[in-house]
Amino acid sequence: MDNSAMAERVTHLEAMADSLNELLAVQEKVVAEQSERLKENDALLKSILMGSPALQFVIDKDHRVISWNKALEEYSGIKETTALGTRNQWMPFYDAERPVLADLLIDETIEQLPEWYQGKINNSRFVAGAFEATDFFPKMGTSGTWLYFTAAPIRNAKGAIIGAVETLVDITERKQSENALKESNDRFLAFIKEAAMRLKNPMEVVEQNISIVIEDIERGQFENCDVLLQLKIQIRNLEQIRQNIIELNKMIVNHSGDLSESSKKFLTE
Amino acid sequence: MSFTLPDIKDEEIYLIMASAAEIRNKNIELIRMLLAKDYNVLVITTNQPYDILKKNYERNGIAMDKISVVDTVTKYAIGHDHEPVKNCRFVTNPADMTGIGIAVTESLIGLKGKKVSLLFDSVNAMLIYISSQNITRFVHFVTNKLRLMGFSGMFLAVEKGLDPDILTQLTTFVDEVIDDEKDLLNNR
Repeated sequence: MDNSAMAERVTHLEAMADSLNELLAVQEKVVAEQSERLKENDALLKSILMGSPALQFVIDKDHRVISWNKALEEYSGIKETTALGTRNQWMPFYDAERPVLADLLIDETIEQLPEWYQGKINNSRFVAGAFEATDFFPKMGTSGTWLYFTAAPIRNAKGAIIGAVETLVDITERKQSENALKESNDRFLAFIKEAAMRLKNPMEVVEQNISIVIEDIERGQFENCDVLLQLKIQIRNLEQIRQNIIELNKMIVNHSGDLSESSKKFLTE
Repeated sequence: MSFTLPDIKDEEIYLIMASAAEIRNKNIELIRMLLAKDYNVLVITTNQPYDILKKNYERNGIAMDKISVVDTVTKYAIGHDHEPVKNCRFVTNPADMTGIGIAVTESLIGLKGKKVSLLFDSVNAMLIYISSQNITRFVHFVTNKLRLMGFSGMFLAVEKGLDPDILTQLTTFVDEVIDDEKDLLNNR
């Protein structure tokens, strides 16, 4: 190879090196940008997870906590820094170590769900492969907490499970309201049932007693004093029945708040 | 209609269901049967006053010498004391559970050593004045007394008038429930 050919080759190689350097610079820029974007996405995801008002944690496929949000910190008293990397996701909810819903989904041991959540677990209505449940946790809060919780597996691009997220919502107030409403309705129904019995029976008793008096009169087998006594008793019975009806009406008025004052007065006096 | 009650066993307690129209006749049939079996009978009446009950019995050939009565209605209806009657205790009103309890206890003590059956007429009439919860308590109280003293008892009730839950509770206090209407249907 002569000098000119050599010089040409060097020039060509230098041009290639420059191009490669430019390419590398572009790639570095792209990687840096992507890395920055990933960091931003990570921060955004973390911010979403951490800022969620629902209690939420994420575990990886080794059942180790990789996310533990603020709400859960507040509820459990367990700091994110303490929880991360551990397998203590059961701790805020149970007295002893046991799998939580997310653990069972990671292990794909769905057949064990009834064992741990008998009668409380259902397929999620909204997310395929996810499950939801409602349960009372006596250990949480001052007098226990009702939680609605749902867990879903997290899959990679190939569809393999790489973790699971569990979200829990405190529904104690709603449950207490539901229970209070149910108790109120049960009491009302019990009263109505009792009232029905205490109206139907007495009316029948009075009806029969008056029929007997009439039969005795028709047969001529009566004495005035007996008829008088029987009628006095029936008047007493009717007075009491009227009193019972007023008591029933009072209960109805108390239960139905939207009655007019005049209707209330009519029913209870 | 003759009453188809099977042989009453000593010291057993029965809940006897009848139709509303048959309650008065049932009272008479039961009394007649109990007297024929040599029982002394304590009647707790929550519907028929003593004077009328006595006349009904006598009209049906039933002597009063082995019958004593706790009358919960007369005094309440006439508004004052009835003249004293040897074999009857008058309670102030049908809602006076304490008064009725005392009258029943004293009457049963007075019959100690005799062959005794109590006839309660009726659960349904009592519902005018007291709640089913208190009736249940009262029946429990009386059945306990009867068992402690070795007496038998019969509680008359109109089946269709009672809430099934209350009926179930009452059933737990007695040895047997005799539903005359159903028994008659079964025998047809």
